[in-house]
Amino acid sequence: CSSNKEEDTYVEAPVETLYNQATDAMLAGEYSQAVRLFDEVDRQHPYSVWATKAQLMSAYSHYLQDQFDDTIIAADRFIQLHPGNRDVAYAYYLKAISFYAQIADIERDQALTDLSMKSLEEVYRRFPESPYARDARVKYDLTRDHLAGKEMEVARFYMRSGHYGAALSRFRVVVEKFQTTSHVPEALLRLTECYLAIGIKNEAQTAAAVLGHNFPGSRWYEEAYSLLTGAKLEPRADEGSWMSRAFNSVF
Amino acid sequence: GPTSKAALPPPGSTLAQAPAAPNASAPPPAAAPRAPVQSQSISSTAYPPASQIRVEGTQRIEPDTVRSYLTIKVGDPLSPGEIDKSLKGLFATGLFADVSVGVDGSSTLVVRVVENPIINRIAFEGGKKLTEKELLPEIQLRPRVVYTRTKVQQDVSRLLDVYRRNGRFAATIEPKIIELDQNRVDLVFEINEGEATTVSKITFIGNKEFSDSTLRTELVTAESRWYRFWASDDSYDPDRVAYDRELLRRFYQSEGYADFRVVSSAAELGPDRKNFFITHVIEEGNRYKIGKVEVVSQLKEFDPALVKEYIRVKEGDWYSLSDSEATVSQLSQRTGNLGYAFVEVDPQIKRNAEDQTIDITYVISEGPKVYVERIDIVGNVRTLDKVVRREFRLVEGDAFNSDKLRRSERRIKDLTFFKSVQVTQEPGSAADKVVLKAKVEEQSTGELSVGGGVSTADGPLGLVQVRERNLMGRGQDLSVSTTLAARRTQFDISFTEPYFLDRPVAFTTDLFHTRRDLTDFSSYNWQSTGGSFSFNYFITEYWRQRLGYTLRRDVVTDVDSDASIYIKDQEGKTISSYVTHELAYDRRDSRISPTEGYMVRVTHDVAGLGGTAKYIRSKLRGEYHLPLADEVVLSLAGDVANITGFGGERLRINDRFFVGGDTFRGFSQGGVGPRDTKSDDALGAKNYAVNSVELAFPSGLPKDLGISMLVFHDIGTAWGAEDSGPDIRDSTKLRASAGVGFKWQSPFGPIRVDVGYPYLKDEFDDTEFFRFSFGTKF
Repeated sequence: CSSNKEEDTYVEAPVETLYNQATDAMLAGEYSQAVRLFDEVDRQHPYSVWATKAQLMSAYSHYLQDQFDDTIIAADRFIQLHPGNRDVAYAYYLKAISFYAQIADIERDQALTDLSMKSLEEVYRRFPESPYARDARVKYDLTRDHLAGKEMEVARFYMRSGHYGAALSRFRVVVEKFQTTSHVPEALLRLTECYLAIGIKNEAQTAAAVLGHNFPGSRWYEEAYSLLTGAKLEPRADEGSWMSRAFNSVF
Repeated sequence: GPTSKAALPPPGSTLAQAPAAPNASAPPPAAAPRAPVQSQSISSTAYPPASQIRVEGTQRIEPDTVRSYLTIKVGDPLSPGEIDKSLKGLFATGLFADVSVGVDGSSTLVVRVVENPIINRIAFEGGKKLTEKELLPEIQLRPRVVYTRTKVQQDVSRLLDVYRRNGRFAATIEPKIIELDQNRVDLVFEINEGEATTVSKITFIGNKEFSDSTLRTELVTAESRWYRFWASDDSYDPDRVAYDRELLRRFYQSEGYADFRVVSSAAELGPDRKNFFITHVIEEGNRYKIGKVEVVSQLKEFDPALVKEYIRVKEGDWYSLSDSEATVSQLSQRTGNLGYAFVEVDPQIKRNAEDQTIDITYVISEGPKVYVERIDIVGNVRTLDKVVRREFRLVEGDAFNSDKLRRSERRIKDLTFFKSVQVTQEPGSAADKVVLKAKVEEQSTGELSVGGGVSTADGPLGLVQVRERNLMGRGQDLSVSTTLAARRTQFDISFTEPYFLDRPVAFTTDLFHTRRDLTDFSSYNWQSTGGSFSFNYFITEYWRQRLGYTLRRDVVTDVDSDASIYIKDQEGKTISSYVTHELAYDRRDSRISPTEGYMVRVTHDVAGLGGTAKYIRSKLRGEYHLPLADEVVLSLAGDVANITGFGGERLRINDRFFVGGDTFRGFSQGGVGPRDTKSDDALGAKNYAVNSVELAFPSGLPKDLGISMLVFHDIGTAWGAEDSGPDIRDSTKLRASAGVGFKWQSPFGPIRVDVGYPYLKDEFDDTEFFRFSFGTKF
């Protein structure tokens, strides 16, 4: 984001002066000034030890002002140049949370959710001892939850427009592949609804039974139960059903 | 529904986790020693293991970084193969200008590197038309990035591409390097932009049946003209020319020229490097009529007679590719509806040279047994998933059908929300499953238009419209517009949800306020304020139905002191509350400028659910368009209408019909129908019937000027006065007019002029010889 004006004010300065000015600017909250000065350290003194530090600090200063694309570019450059550096875990982490911060709501494109999931996983797998591992793990679980939410949204769309078959397979994805997420109870209720709508009673009963067994007392179960009683049925697990198999470890 | 959005912490919450910034007054931190990587030597031990790895020549990059890119680690055998791999790996990083790897003594691996310089600054010199701001994002290299020659070459070709896209084919770019201390360089792109290159002439060789100008209008590339100074389609673009070839092929094949082919398309740059001359060499071939048409079924126990009625081509007609494609689409859909999930329809063509006919056999066979596993939509950073998904003619779990996929892609493109739409097929989780992926690229869907014009009916006018066609990415249309004219003031807000409650029913609601000065023909001003909503949907492919409700307050004011007594007593306000039902059968090829097909429409308004107006208003309209020759279209249209009051309420003047002007040329608005001859005010009719015949033909002037001529004949009448009195004249006598006119798609906006002579009229009618309208949008 360097503009012409900044190029014109390009002045040679000793490395310590530049670095200290940059740090001061960052601490004072003048992040774009900090980015400029950290980049100056790297440009004027590329062979100083400070240049390495400055690259990372520049990435961080971009992050502080929500310039996520620039953060990712800067972090990637650090990773490429210094894959063995002791701070490289932080560069990976910075990149991951920059993807994470840009995640769109579930009704829109989820490409960034995928990217952040992969990069968060990389952080906690490659650097399990780093201070960032725990946060990365927590955020990883949240991104998975978000992706499950996307499946739910598409499934609900198909359900609303009367395409129960299409809705069923999307809800099934949630139950089978996102079993630890918060969307599973609702998915089981919707499965009960969809199976009832297309007249497959035993699967509807199984979905409600699995829901009742794993999430007793949830409002989703209450709703599923009253749906079944409305159709003069009761929850009953069919051991041959895919849902029973999917939840075997839980039973 | 539940979303996990709320769980996202705000960015910046990890401030405490940044590595502590070192204080420059303290000594720089020493790099932490890296734990040596233990790797077991698994392969042959014919080569001595590396006892150590020495890195020489690094300046900026840590020796550890160099070691991490090697495939050989300490303890690994020093095999020539591994050494070679390491060498290639180091080159691949792009960090080094030179690398050599050798073995010192017996077991020390020595890696010598020469680092590539680092770019200090990037500058563009000599560019005027494109600024640094536009050029910099196009290139890969950046300040502080490692310089390599390959990257510079790539960036030069990228920049040249940018100039070509801007129509500058004469541009040249020379990269220059200024070496600085500490192995740094400044990179300067010296640019010579050259002159803009436009298409000055498009010619065709081999066309006999269609003129150059007709063919030119089929293309997307246009010749440059002085009066088309806002246009950008006259710059040369090879992709566009390739698309033009396809358009030519489609055009000819839909006109019956089944053998048509483009022999070559050449673009020559003129000697001054400013102009392109494009020449399409074509072979029209014979024009064919359709011979025998057959449907053959290869499906088990499927009688092709069941779908025969859906064939859209007829024996004796000119052969048309688009009709044939429509037939394929219909046959595959109908066969699918009869329970055959996997269907492919293949049109097999047989040419009969002697009588120049084409026999078409539609072969219905079993398609590949593949199901749609998933439909994924990507790139919709703004538009909701469902807005794209609902345009798919396939849902997840359906049997795959290539015709439905093609129609899905076209529907998504027709939304015009996206700059590009690509629908691809990817293998699914099993051999019989396919994943469909729609990749879209968003574009701006907001519009601001400002315009002006002048017309006989309204006088000089100005208009402003703000419109968003994809409101918040929800696919809804919102528009706010206002028109200010000498004799009209209008304000409108309109909102459309194309899929009401996720069903294919368009819901429209609008609010309006209109003021019209009608003193010229009826001596009063009219104001109308209100709102309406309606539901619009297709019952089948061609049947459309609309149900609506309107609530409106009309005020008749400023009645002239010498106005008719029958208008004076209309002064005041009315509240109308009415429901509308409309049914239309539309087989026209276009709603905006139809050239072929017909349409029938019936509309009923019933007022009286509350409010003061009570009436039933019915309208019937029919249209028929027939292309007689190239660019010659004959159009017939007929309108019949009636309004009948009930419940003892008088019909208000603003609900009656004022025929004339655009609806009956040669007469002024309200010029036909009941009139108070004492004050010469039009009173409005309760019935009318008008038939018009119009022939549009080319003007003979260059076609790109966009001028077309027409001759017309209107005949009809309007009758039925609400009041009776000695001065009121009302007759069912037939009126007729004939005239000529022209339409010009001028660079400043469409201009329309009609000159009509009423040769049959009643003595009290008000005629209008000349009618003019001009409007534009910027």
